Parts: sequence; structure tokens; C-alpha cells
Amino acid sequence: MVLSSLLVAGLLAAASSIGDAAAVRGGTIVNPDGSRVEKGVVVIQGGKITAVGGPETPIPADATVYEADGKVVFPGMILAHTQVGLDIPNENMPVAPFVNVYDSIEPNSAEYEECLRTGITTVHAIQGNNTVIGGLSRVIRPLGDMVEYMTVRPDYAMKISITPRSGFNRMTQMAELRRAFADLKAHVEAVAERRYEEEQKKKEEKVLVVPDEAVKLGMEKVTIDDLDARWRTLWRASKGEVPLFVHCDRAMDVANGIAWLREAKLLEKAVFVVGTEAYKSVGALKQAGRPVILSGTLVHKDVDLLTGKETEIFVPKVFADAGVHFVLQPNGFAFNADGLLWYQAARCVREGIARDVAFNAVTQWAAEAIGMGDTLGSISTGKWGNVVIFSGDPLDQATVVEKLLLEGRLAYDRSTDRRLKELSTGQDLAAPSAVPAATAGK
Amino acid sequence: MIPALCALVLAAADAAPAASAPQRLRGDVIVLQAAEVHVGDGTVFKPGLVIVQDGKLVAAGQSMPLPAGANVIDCGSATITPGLVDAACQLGTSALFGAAEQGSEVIPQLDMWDALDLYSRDFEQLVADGVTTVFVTGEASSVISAKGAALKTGGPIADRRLPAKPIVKLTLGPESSGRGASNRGPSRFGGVSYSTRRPTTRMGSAWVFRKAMHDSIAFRDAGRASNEDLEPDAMRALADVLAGKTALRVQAREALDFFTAVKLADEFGLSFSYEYATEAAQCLDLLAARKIPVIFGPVRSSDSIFEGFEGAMPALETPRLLAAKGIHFCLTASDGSGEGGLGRQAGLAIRFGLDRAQALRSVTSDPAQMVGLDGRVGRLVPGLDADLVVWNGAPFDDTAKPVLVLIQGRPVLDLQGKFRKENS
Repeated sequence: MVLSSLLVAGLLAAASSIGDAAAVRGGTIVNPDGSRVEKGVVVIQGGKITAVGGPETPIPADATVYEADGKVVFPGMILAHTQVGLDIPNENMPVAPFVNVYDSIEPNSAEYEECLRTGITTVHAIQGNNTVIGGLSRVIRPLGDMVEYMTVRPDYAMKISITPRSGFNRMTQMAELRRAFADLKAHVEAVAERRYEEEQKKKEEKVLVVPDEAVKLGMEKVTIDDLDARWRTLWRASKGEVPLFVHCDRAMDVANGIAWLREAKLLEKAVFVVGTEAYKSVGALKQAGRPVILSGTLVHKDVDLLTGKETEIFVPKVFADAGVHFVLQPNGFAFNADGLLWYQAARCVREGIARDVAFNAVTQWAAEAIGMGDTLGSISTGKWGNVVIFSGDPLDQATVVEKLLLEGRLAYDRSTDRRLKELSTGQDLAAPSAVPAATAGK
Repeated sequence: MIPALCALVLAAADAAPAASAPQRLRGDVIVLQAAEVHVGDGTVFKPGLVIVQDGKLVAAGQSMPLPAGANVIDCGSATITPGLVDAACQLGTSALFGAAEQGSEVIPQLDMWDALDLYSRDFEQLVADGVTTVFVTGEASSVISAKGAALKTGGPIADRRLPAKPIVKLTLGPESSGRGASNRGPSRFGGVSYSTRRPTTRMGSAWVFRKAMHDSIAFRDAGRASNEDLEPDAMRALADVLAGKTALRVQAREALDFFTAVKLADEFGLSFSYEYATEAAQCLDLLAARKIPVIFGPVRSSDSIFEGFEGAMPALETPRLLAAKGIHFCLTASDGSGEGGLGRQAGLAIRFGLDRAQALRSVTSDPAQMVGLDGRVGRLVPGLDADLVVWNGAPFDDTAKPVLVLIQGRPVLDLQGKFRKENS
């Protein structure tokens, strides 16, 4: 029902109804754990993978079969932290935990179409980094005409930035962050005191305790309904109920961030979103044991203050060598290879990182960063049927996405991608002059 | 077949002035062995080896007797290609007061060589990208630019300059009319903008070109200056363009500027090569009919489907389309390097349908030929400079990069320490 609303004209071919089975047959199944199945079969039923195996794997009689001979079958890739498809991703107010990215998602954005074209099946849409405390994010499918239908996980996480927003300094940034939580505490305490007093009044008893005691007694009676929308999200976050995507552009921000998270007892909820210079804090990040999302730039240029000498550091290599689970994201969102997630993986391999590690950084570890490691990130029985059929080795220059299944349904087919043809040849295929009458029928 | 080829190569080595057969080699001889040697003209030796002496390539082939005492470097599973050549490089000029001349729009009497900073870090980056020869074209903020200069990206400073043919560039469109972001001037000190420069429209750029040409013709015919804005030397330099002694390059992104260039060329009986050519895919028939050579690129990371300079973005398959039409073309990275460098331009061309062998030619022998340096660089054939790149995988693959670069037989990049090991 819901999925049938996902149909987008021109992108979804051969529509079938939910519950139908699908199978991808004959391709090389490549998984991020390094396993490969030649001439493999993937069976998807009810949106989930029900079987993965060799050519002998039985395919349900009613399954739509996608032939993948000579192709590579790869798990759908994941943008674990992105602003693609968002209309104005940064909120002007520094502390705005009450906003929701729901209102900013533009379902018809060409960027979502581009996601499918480039093998991305899951998008974690989250507010930009230029904030102190951002609003709630959302995990979505890059397909659908309403946010409701796109949604995988609503109101998932929050953005907190340790790096100062533009025009401010680090001290102000941390002060604003601390003050927001102090304001929350004061507000909730006032609510708790009032709740205690109301309870006493209901029982027709007098308030006989000092305010501090009233706060303590009332605190356990406070529910989310006692708070208005301004405070709800922050309150949930303060109790560790909301994952926090903590932006730390520089190594010093990582240090400040970890210290603050420990102080707030929220380290276990953190995912670090770091800039290139943060490679210097790889030790602290490893010790924190939380997922790390790298900047798309990948290369850090260190300039020696004294000699002016420039050194280039390939950042993912530092994290790979330290054994930290890092996540890649594309640099910008361009049509050429720079904007491709798998190009980032290829760059990693170019700089000496193992292929499995690079594959993990765009699939399984990205899934883990959005708390969906058991649901997404590999082609395994029980996981969602998000499968990319690549024309060849995903890290090869000339490889393209030929077909993409989103929960078992064909969501992208290169052979019917008219916009791609226009982008490739510069011809406007919609214009009548581009299709001479004599050849139009061919 | 293969031995015959080798014999051919050795015969050619004999014929080349700076070369002799391996057994008669003198001095330091370097032999590089690799899984593949791509000559750059379509020939591939698997496995292959190249022999280098005195900065020149002496031989390339599949197997041949190694000269005694040669320094043999085994590159294992690597691939050797010629050093890359960029025919429209915009790097290496001094950042401030470099090439954006504000004194005049028409400066063909100037020489880009005087604006080059051979100690610029740009050259290290170019070497890291496998680019060994660049032709630095004039700056696009002039309507008629200074003459370009050709040089090696590494090696001794005294050996860097190369004798390329003289080329001046006409820039049409936003750069020369002062609106574009690429109109880079000494920005710290006010910058080049419509408030400081003329012309300010496309019509204005075309007019400046026409006027300069008419002035030059009048000067040539009457022997005296009729235009007090234009120096006699500038008019003499333009007379060389009219006489075909200096080649004309036109930089234009958009198809409309290309059509203007064709009109202007016809008015003065000129031929030209076409640089940047963002919208070349819209002009394929005219390019083919006029046999106009194209220096295409760069495709930038910002050329996404969502943004583009003035809305112009290259059709992604432009190189393939140019090849299919038989249009003589090469690729350029312009001021791009690293992820936007020349190797990436070739890689993107492959990604969007260009044959791999032609992609290699389009960044080696084709650009060398376009700037008149095909007798020096661009192929691994005897007698040419020993400029070569060793890739740790297939050239231009996203997972491969140059690990060893030689310019005139000298290592200028050696990531795996092949030469250090040999010398220790």
C-alpha cells in the first residue's frame, strides 16, 4: 500500500504490488565482509531478503527475476549524514532542537533521483553543521512524492555542533551548548515543582517541603506531555533517547566534544561527524568507540607554521590503520565521479586501504552509524532487499548502476533513464527537434 | 608478430638521432620493466620494457636483449605510459600580478613564460598527477592573450622550457567581458571586474577582437599605428596571426560564443583551435565540417546537474561524441589538479564511453601534436624525451595513481623508492 505510492513515473519500470517476490540471478554477489558468491541468487520477499546463495538457490515461481550475468550485485549504499534534497538545511537560530527536517525534505528533488542513479538506497537527512543544537533528522528512501512514504525512521537523531557556527568562537559555542541544557534543566525542574504542587493540591494536601525537595518529588511525575514542543526533543536527548550526530570539524573539537558528551553522559549516543584535521584525534575517537563519519574531502593539507611546508594526509587511511569504523560520504553531490559514494571508496583503495574496508565504509558501517546495522548494509538473509546491480566492479572507473531494487522493487533502471541520456549527450530529448519524425519510431 | 614489432622498434631506434641500438648504448642506461607498456599511439606491450639513456627514450618493446650494465628497474605489475601532456594548462603562474593584464585587452606581444613561477607548488602537484609537459595558455581575462609557453613540470630549471609553436588565445564570453568568477585578477587589490575593465558584454569582446585585427591590418598595410590604444608590437604580433605564423586558440564555454568565434575567424580568414568547449556537444556538426581541433575540458566537480557556469555544463559523453565524429581533440584539466587533474579527466572520459586507448592518446600524443611538440613528447617511441609515468594499476582507474614519474630520464616522483633502492 505505502510502497505503491513510491512509484515515480519514468523511474519505476514494471510495477508490481507489495508482497511480490523478486530475485536477482546470475551476478557476482559482493558483500562488505569480503565474501563473494559467483553466479549468485538473491531472493527478496515482502521487501526482505529471504535467501542468498549460489545458482542452485530456489527462486519462487511468482518472483520477478532480474538477470545479472556478468554483473556485480552489491548492497544498496547509504548516505549516513547528508543534506541532499533539503531545502535550506541550516536553521538560523543557534539552538533549535524543536525544528524537524521533515519540513525541509523536498521529495521531488532531483538529488533523490541522483541517489538512485548512483546506487544509494538509504539517506539520513539531517540538518547542516552550522548550528549549536539542531532539530530532528529522518532516515528516508530517496524515492516517493511525500515524506511520509519516503520515511524509514522518523525523528531519528539530532545534530549538535562543537565546532562554532560561522562568525562565532569556540568558547561561545560551548557556552551556548551548555546553557541550552542548563535552561532545559531549569525548565524541567520548574515543571517538576509545579507538578508536585498540583499533585498535592489534587490530594488536598499542603505543600510542606522546600522547593528543592518538591523538584525531586515531582521529577518522576514529569512526562513528555508536560513539556511544550520547544523542550521535548532536547529533554529526550538529555535522557539519551536520541542519537546525536556531533559535528567536530577539528581535532580540538573532537576533544571538546568527547569531554562534553562524557559530562552529559551521552557519549554512547554519539556519532562523530568530523573534518579532515580531526585525523589527529584518531586515538581519542578510537577510544570513544563510536562511529565516525568523515568529510568528503578525504585529504588533509597540513601546513607547518614555521616552515610553510605542506604535507598531505589521506584521512581515511589514518582511521583504517587505527581500526576505527569510519563512514564515507561524497564530496558534494555532483554527477561526475566526485559525487559518487563509490568513487570515495575507490580513492581509499588507491591510497592503500583494503577493499573490504572501503566497501564497509559505504555500506555496513554506514548502516551501523544510523543504527540500522541489522537491517541494511549487506546482502544477507533477513535484511531489507536493497540491492544494486552494477555493470562491473563497483570500484572500476567505467562501472555504472544498471538496476536498483528498493526493498525488492525496481526503483531505477538505467535503460529507461531519459535524463541521464540528456546529461550524457547534451541533447534535449523532450524537444521535438531532437527526435526527427523519420527516426522517432525506431 | 611481437618479435617483428620489436625489430621494428629497434630499427626505429637506430634511425632516431639521439638513439642507438641497445648493444651500443653508452652512459647511464635505465631499463624499466612492467606488466604493460602503453606507447601512447595505441600500441601496448604486455609485458613490456623501455630503455632510457641520456634523457631520451631509446627503445620500447615486449622483450629485447638488455644492454650490459643497465640499471634495471622492475616495476612488477605496474603499467607504463608516456608522461601526460596538457595543451591548455592554467597552472604555474604567479598568483598575484601574474597573467591578468589590466593595461590592455589585447596583449599578444607578451609571453606567458614571463608570468610563470617555476618554483610554484602547482608543478609538484602536476608531477604527482603524472603530467610531465604543459602548454600554459594565456589568461582568459584578456580578449587576446599573451603567447602561451610550453614547459616540463619537473627536472632542472634550465631544461624546463620547450619550443612549442606560438599560440595566442581569443577568449569570448563571460571571462573576457569581466563577469565570470574565473576572471581572476589580483583580487586582493580590488580585482578585475566590470567596474575596472572593458569590454563588459559578449558583443564588446567580439568588437575588441575585430578592432584589434582591423588595426593590425591597417598597421601592416600603412606601416604606421592608427590606434593609440594598441602598441605597435601588439599589432605586429597580430599580423603574425593573420599570416598564420602564430596559431589562434579560442576559449569559449558556450555554444553561442563558439558560433561567434567561427564568424570572427571567417571575417579574417583565420583558422583556430577551440579550448574549453563546454558545449562542444551542441556544435559537433560544425566542428567536424570545419575540422576544428578541440581542447576539451575540464569537467569539474562543480559541473553537477544542479549547477554550472552560466548554466553551461558539458555533456558527459562529449569526448566520446567528439571521437565518434572524427573530430581531432584532446583533454585538458586547465587549472585543475589532483581529483580534478588531467588523469581524472581521462578517467571521466572513459567513464562516459571513450575508448581507453583513445583516452590515453587524448592526454599524451594528441595534445603534444596540437602544440607542435609531438617530436619531443607524448609517445614512448625512440628519440623522444624519456618522460614516462608508472601507474600502480590501470592508468586513470580510480584505484590507481602514478607511483613513479620520469622527466627526461630523471625521477621526479618516486613513491616506492625504486630509484633510491637502485642507488643505495
